[in-house]
Amino acid sequence: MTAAHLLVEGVFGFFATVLVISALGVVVARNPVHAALFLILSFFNAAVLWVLLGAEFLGIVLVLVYVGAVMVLLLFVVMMLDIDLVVIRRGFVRHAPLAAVVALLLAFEIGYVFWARHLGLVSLAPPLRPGTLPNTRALGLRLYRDDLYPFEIAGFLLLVGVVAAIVLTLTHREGVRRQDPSAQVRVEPARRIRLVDPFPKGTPGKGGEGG
Amino acid sequence: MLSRDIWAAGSEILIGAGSILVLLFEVLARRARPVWAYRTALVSVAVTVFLLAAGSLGRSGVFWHGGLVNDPLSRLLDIAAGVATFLVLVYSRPQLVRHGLERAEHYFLVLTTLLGVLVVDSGGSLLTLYLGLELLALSLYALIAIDRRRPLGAEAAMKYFVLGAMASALLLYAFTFLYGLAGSFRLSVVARALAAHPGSPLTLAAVAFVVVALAFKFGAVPLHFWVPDVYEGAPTAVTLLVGTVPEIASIALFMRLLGLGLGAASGDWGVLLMVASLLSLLVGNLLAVVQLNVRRLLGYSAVGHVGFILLAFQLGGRGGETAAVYYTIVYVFMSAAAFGGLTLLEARGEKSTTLEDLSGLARRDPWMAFFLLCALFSLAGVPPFLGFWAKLIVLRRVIMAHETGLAIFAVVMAVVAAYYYLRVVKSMYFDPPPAPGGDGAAAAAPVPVFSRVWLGINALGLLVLGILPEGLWSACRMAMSHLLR
Repeated sequence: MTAAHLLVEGVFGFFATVLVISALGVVVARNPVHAALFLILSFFNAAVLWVLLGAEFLGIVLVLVYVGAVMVLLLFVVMMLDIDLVVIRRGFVRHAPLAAVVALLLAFEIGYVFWARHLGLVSLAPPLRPGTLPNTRALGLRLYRDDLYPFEIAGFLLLVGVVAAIVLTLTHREGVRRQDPSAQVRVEPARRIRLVDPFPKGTPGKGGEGG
Repeated sequence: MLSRDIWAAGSEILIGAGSILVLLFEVLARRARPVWAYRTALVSVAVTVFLLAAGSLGRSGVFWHGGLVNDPLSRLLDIAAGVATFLVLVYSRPQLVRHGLERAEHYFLVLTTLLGVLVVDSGGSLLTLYLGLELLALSLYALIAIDRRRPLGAEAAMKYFVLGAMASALLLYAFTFLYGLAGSFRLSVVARALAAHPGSPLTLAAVAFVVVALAFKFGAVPLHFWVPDVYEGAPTAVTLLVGTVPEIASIALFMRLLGLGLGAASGDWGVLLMVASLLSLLVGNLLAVVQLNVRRLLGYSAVGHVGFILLAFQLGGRGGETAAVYYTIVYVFMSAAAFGGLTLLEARGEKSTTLEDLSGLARRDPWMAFFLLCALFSLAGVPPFLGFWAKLIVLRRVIMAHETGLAIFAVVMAVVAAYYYLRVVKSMYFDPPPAPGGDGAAAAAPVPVFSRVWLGINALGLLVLGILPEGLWSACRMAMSHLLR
């Protein structure tokens, strides 16, 4: 085993260990905010593992999307909700057997994948070897050249979603006083301020007649 | 390479660009009435249909690594969907204007519905078929609920949305199985993989899920529950759309996915489809008899017609599939005329909900009554009309397959259907009009001549094509004889 290989193995081991520990922390932490922070840590570690596997684009996206957007949203939710820890932990013992069954089932399913060949599955082409083509470039070529057509349809799908959401929720109710920015911008000083001479010429002296 | 692929998607690009233009008009000229959106939509659909019919768009071949397949079938279905959308736009505008529902977004969603249908028509891979279907369904969900003053519409949209999402999930689940078998989204690769592994449990599961999802999309029994509710709850102009254009996507999906992709497993889906078709014929027609609401009646009768289509399709082989495609196209134009008539009646300020609302129509508006009569006679399958030939061809196929019992059952159900269609005609021609003074006759506004003329062309076309049925039938046979995948 070369030194470089050993280094990669060592890096993998380190980040994998931290990943497992932080994943445990997510479950075990008493404070929901701490759990969310542990989740962010585990996302970072998983991203590093992906980069080690040669999927650098997915690693970056994991950090940008999950840590940058989803987790921030989740933290907001956690901080805004008034969570009573005692209530959440109540019934843990009662549900533990069911949870154990679910966990065992999941473990079995994950293990079963390795023996799934006899179902008649065609073994798929192996993933691109790291180094033949940069992962980002490969994904880009796939999305924007080979699969441009479905990609554009998916874009239309999102557009329809946006339009549908606005059509179904936006109301233009009569009689509601709301700002009209273009009218505000178009306004001229002459139409807002009228300079009035309090003492027009030709009127009798100061203070008026009755003064 | 890339430019060749892009040109191949010309019809989709045209309709997509048209829909974007419609949205732009809404943004830039919000204060103007949405008539420009309407005109843009109409022109983009008409141009696309014209170019497709002239052969300038949709060059034959397989493009986008199998994602887009242009063959005579896709062109025929594209043209049919385009013409149907054109008619839908023309019929629905007067009603939308009268009921204060005319918005540019409405036309945008109609165009994206058409776009979804076009994508499905020429879908050559699981991915594009699914995306086209979702585009179509999402547009319809929004359109059904678009009139928020109508609680029935929101209820129907909710039902359709939840059930439709479930059907989409089942379809995706089936696609994962198929992808696992074939290692590719391309239908041709899937077909080869299925032929190589006959009787695999994965195939069975995939076929079952696909059939369930497709039966939902078509509205076949036992997954028909949304049909009458949506037909009744949606605004009339949207019912007109739901009852016509998506049917073309449904038959395209059946042809591409079951006929071409899962053709090797036709023994498995044939049985399922036969059960669905018999149940649809029975339940749809019998429940339509007891309906007093015209739209629910037409909804249940649509289920019955789907029974006919599936009856032809499940026979397998090119003959049965051709009959199914022919029946679907004919049904779409009959349905367009029937719902178009109802929509234009509403645009006049009349109600068209119950049978009583229609009574005495022949005296109030003889032409409109005659157009509706043409549509209903055709739907019932009365001889000089086009619908007769559609039923005849399906029945001939069934008898040629030595299923005489099925054919007799279908004929009996067609007779039941004739009863309730003729009851509507009787109500229009022989029943006295409702007592004056009601809100029905209060403000009969004239319907724009443009829409009336097109309805006339649509209805008389059913008669003329029924007298000269050879053209459309040979077009279908031509389309089905050069399939690509």
